Amino acid sequence: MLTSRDALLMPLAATLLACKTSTDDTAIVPTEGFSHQPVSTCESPLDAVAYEERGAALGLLGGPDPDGEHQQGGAIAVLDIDGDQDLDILTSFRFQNTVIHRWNGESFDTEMLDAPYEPWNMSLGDVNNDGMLDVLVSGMREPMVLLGNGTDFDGMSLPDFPIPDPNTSIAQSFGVIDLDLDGALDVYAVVNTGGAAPTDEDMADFMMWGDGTGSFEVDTSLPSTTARRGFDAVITEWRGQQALYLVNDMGAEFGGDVLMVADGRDIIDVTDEAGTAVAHSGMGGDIADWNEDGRADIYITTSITGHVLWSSQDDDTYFDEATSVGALGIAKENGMGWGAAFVDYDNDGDQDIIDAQGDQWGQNDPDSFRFDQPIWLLEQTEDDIFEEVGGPLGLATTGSYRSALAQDFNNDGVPDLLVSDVLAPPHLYLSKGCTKNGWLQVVAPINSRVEIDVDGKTKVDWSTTHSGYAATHEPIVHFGLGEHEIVDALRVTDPYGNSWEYEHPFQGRRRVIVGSPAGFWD
Amino acid sequence: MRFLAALLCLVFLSIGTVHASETPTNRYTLRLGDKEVGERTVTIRQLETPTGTLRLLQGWTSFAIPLPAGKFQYRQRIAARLGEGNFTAAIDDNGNAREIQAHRAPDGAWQVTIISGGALKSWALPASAIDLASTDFVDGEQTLWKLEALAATAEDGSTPILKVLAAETGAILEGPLKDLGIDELEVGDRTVAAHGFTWSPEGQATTLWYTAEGLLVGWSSQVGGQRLEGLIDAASISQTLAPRIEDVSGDIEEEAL
Repeated sequence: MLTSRDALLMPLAATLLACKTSTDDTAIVPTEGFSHQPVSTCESPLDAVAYEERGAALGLLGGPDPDGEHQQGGAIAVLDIDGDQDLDILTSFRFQNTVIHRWNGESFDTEMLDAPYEPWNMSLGDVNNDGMLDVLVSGMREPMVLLGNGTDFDGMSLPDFPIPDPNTSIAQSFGVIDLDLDGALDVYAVVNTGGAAPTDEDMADFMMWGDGTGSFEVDTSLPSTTARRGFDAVITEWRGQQALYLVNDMGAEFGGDVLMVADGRDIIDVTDEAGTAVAHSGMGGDIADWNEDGRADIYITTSITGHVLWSSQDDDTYFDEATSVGALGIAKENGMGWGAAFVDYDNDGDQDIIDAQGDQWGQNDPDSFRFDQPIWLLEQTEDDIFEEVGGPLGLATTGSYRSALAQDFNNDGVPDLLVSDVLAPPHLYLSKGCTKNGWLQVVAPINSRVEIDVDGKTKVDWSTTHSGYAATHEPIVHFGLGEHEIVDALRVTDPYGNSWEYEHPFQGRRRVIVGSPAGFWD
Repeated sequence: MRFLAALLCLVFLSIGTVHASETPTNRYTLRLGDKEVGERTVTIRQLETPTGTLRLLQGWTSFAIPLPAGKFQYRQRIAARLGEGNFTAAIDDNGNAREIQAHRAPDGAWQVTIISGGALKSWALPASAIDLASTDFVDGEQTLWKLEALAATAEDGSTPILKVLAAETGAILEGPLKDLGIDELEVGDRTVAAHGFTWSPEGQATTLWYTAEGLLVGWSSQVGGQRLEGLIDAASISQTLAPRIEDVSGDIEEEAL
């Protein structure tokens, strides 16, 4: 490490460096399509990751409903709303409008938006192609788009929905994806009938084809297998093309999960080919390449029956390994899994899982249960199994948790964890400091495939904005590098086949921006 | 080597593109003598935030010049948060890559990092060690008054010294600053009044010219007996400054009496 005294010699030293011919440069070469943020050095690494819960102390607000009705509360969205280069948070709870929590450098300032009122779910995407992220809001009340304007949002209605009875059927959640690859993000609307009897007419999902201006054309000609009790739409990749995995609730009665791809605007059900026909009470899902075969694996949270870990196989089918690897993710009988997301929390290079559990409480459901549940952090061990490690790291708590996501709020390279509670302010688990393990964050166009080479191995992830049940964040991919500090290559391919390749070794512990992803990226 | 050092010290501005298409990009043509040798583009995006205006610089510089030993090619990309001193630069000179980064703590202290030759070096400096980062030179709105104030100290007989952290090398360059007063520069078919300053670190004089609004119009330096000059393009200056009277006269209708 140079001292300030050494720095006085830098005019000469730097010139010598500049003129030196080197075959092992790890500086980023200026390249079109790639930009980067500074390396975040770790002067005093902690021995291991440690978290401190700071949500309420920093100003995060919970909902006003003491009864915490089931899925009606706890959606979270994390993005830089105002371009000040830090992460802000949107929350939604029953009996109130959406709340902005704006980071001011020391704490969150809160403000309530004029609309929407008590949305159930939020999804991020740039639907009007203005370079800023928008928030698509779904739930019991009128779904809408919050168009990012650089400071806050302009509200905009969505088209009239083809739902016969809006008192019983709702757009539970939205999948944001350019399914027809026309350059404009589309929205897949997952329909939930609540307690109504299932019929094809009032349960079918529908598409909203975007035109890139924020306008949509509604399309109800989806496969009949989408007429189920939908809960979540997971953007994924199957056989090299983007795909949608539909997580369905009460599958035993209404039908199981569905995997779909598109050919233009023809949507094709490939569930049988992929072997993902599972019937359960699914809540949400997230993707990562946990088994490191280059294909997307899917983690599905459920109630009662235990979670599903769809591990991709060489023949493009999936095999549920949740039981065999210890990722069932429900602590108590009659407990319920809600939000979950893959995260390499300790940057050791292996995907772990944050698992937010809650209860089945419903005011109008006499059979529902109400009891506190834990948050689990399932760490993938060297034996490729998962072990709960959250308690010792500072996550020992119980509550009625809903959504979960991982983002680096305090910019130390260790993923921080945000978990909402239907009854209380969100928990924000901030890391107490950086660690010795290296890392890299890649910001890429939405739903791109991101690959890095590290120490002779290729790691893959996808820049979706989805993070399990009712959680969404900017299209940032986080890779743990383990003991390595250098990334040998970076490749990004967007859904249109555009690719960016950077084949020079470069220093990690930083954020690299590829292409022109929506958001305030330099 | 000295030639390169002087040349690198000149390249304090940079480029890039942003997706916010409404943000104007200024282009500068780089000339060595009468010969065009490259260009620099500069975009400053202003974002209104709850805590004030954030000014984000993105720049790209690219040029090639002949040397006795062969052609010297240089590319540089910079992103900076103007006013704060934070910047990151990626540089490729003749196939050698390096990165220069600076980060300022809330108390003004600097952390400077260089990545080069497969090594990362980082060191801390007190706030008083640096007056400006070279990226600030493009931000005339914030820099012009600082240069004016520093240069004005010469009135009491002292020699004002400007200490600049070079985004090209990570070096701190220190040299006297002189106020040249107001002069006129020709940009295309336009005459622009500009306030000039000469800064001479290590005896290598660099001259900077700003409009009263703080737009960097051009700069120049003597390098190896040749004059390297950067001058803003006419199209860029037109989108930044108020139109000339003769350019708008056709749109002005005489008011009926």
